[in-house]
Amino acid sequence: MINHAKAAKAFLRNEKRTDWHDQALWFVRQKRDRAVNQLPEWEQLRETASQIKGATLSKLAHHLLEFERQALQNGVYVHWANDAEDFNRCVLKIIRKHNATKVVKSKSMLTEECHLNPFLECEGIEVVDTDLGERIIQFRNEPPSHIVLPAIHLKKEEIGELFHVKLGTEAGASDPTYLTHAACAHLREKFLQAEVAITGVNFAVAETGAVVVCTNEGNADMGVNAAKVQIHCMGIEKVIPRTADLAVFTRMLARSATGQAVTTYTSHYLKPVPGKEMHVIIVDNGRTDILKKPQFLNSLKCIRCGACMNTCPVYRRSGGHSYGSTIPGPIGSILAPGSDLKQYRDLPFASSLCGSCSNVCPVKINIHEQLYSWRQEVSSARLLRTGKSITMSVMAKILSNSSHYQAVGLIARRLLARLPRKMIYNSFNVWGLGRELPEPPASSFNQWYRQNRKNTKL
Amino acid sequence: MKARETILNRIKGIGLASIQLQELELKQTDAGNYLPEFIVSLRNAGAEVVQLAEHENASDFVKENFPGTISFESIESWKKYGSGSTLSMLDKLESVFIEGQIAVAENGAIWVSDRWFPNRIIPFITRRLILKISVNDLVPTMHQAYTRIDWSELSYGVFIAGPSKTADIEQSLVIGAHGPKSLTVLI
Amino acid sequence: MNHFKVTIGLFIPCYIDQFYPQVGIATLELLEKLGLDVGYPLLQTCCGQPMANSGCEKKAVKVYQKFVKNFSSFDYVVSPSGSCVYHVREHYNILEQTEQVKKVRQSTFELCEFLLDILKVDDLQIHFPHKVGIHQSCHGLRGLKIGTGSELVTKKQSKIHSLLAKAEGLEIVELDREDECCGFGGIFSIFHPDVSVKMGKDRVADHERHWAEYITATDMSCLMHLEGIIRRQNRPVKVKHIAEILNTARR
Ligand code: SF4
Repeated sequence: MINHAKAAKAFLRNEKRTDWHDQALWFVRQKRDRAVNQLPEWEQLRETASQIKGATLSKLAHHLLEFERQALQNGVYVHWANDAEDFNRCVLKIIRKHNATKVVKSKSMLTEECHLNPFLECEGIEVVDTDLGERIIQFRNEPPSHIVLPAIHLKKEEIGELFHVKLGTEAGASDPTYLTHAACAHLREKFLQAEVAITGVNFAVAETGAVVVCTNEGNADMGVNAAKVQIHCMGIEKVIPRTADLAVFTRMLARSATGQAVTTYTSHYLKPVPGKEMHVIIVDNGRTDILKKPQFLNSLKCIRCGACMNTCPVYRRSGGHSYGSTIPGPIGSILAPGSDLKQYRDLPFASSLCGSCSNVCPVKINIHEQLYSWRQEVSSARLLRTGKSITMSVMAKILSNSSHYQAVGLIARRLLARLPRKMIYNSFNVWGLGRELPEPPASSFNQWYRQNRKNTKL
Repeated sequence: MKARETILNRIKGIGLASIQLQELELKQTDAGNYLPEFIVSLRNAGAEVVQLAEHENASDFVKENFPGTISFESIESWKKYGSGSTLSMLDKLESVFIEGQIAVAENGAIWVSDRWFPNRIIPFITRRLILKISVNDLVPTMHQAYTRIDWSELSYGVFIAGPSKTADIEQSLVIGAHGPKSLTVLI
Repeated sequence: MNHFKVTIGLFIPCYIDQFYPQVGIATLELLEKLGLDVGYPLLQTCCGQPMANSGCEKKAVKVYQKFVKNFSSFDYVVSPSGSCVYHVREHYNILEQTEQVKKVRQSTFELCEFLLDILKVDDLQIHFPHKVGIHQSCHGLRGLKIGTGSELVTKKQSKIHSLLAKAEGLEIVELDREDECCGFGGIFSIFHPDVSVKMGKDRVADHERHWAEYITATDMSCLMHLEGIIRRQNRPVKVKHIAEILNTARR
């Protein structure tokens, strides 16, 4: 079971580094603010985007079938996968069919979710992540800490050291331009050798069968256009009905994600080059379970822009890895409990419920309300941490009885005023670890009122 | 096929109340002058901008200023870099000149499709990309851009906004990732 | 509106009642200065938020019912706590929606909201000659929309700013992060103490960087958390609930 508070504590041990992490992400949030403020119609766009996604989800089977029909007509192979295992096997089958051993992959959170890389590696296939950030964490053998900025938790010196070992860059070199170019030279060779290219999917257009992938580095196109076989992996929620809808989403995605007006490349794959093969794999892996739950189905609207992470004051100060889920941060905290409530029971509580995530979300997912709802689910499933549930039962008892409440309040204030400091500030007093308790006043407001206002209304 | 049916049945089994997809309200845009905005967007995206005068010929300009550039206005280039070409050959491309079809003022994106170059990898594998775009093909936003694309004929198309870039190391922007290190736009 | 005809129920949340009576007093005095008929039900306890935010919404139902019973006879319920007001309005949806419940949910207001939207006060003639930093408490800001969240692309407004705009001698300091959460978050402050305290420290530091003498907010809970950090670290900045500043009003 994930213990977010504990992981966050470890992250916070190096306060300077936490500040650096916080500021790096806040900087992205500020860039996002500037970019969205260039569009006076931003709020209307959010509403529209949310509407499109909502309408699509409400007739998901219809739109998926339409997409499939168009894609088949375009000469694309369409596959369906129930779960991660199904999906991994499906990818492997395609690779095996072509006797391939060298695979390049551009960013895809779905393949992370299904742990495709380790699966393929076990089968003797070389998978190279080609997004720079992804490559860095692949070298380090760790999961991404952010869905758009996978290596945001690392300092350039650490990456310099890593590249020195893995790529033979100069020892001590940490200039981002130098390191980036070194990695790109290394990856260019991989592109030229690759037999199969795998990508994620940002949008799949039902009307035309187009698969749309957005990148800044150009790695999706380098991979796909160099390899003989291209495989695009999408969750069932990636389908959108019309080409016109693409305009709405492409206007919002990059602005929300990095503060760019649009990603450098917005690529539309419809048909394979004659003699090559194009595959699309449509994956469920728990998504239909979310679709079943009315209070949570909006989370399927997510376009994976990462804005909710950048704005989250908790994420910025606890780091992506503290969530222990493929997708971290606010959206991860409402997706993960849907897949395994017990494992991720902590995540809905890893939030102050400030609501900034819901405000920033381009598709208007009510993230903080879902966090609140997931808390109720955790409690209903009797999965609350024991401390929490006992405290709450006691509190509920006290607060539903006025005289008990006043009596307990009085005792607490008296104790606080009279007990020696050592007895108050001990390890059981979690509040007191970093904060003083309030100074107890002589009387409560209630007592004051009884003494100072005559014609009391009861 | 089994997974397909399972997934579709599961979705249908949920029986969500259908929500009507709303028509997109496309603000009527008149023929305004979007050029200044487009130029700002291009520069923000890291592209170099060259404005040619009416009588200037783009191909001549490229020949003069970027010698050695492979132009896909010429049939020879199509032959040379067509289906017979190998990746190692393409990997040697230094500078490439392609005609863009649609340009978007709000973000500097330029639409190119593989009808205008013989191999899909060309705009990515080259070190320098030069795109030509006519002012007549300039639209204000992505909404108008998408209505102009002819989907019936299309097999592959991409909006390109600036040279390839990344900020994956400490958020510091590096121009030139897997795609071209520079993009020049001739208007 | 004729102020003398309506009755106001004063809702003082549990932690204000027990630890910050001066905030309750300031609220009461201010409303009385404005000529309102204010009643304070002595049997009130809490809105039930602590349980609900811990996932124990069901355990809170009795507390909710008690709240409704205590306050259903008033025309308006006013409270110096945006968070509790938000809870009543938003989360009492799990109660059976009787006329009483509906009425209470609709007529419960946070103090600043009430002053501006219902009473439509203009200049309260506040006198508070200090540099003040406004901490936008999240539930008030994004829940009750007492101000415009910095994430949104809509016309900016902030009720606290409006109320303090004409205050004599008061200078509002600009912050680097205009509406970052302070990290209190109710049970979050207990179960995620490290992140919570770090958020609070950063919030205090932002105010100090801009030479604020006071941090004010619509929620005493945020201020309780920030004050706890300030006192632990012996910082010079002080906290003051918005009701206390507003209560310096002459009229
Ligand atoms: S939940 Fe919203 S803000 Fe977060 S990643 Fe998804 S789309 Fe972006």
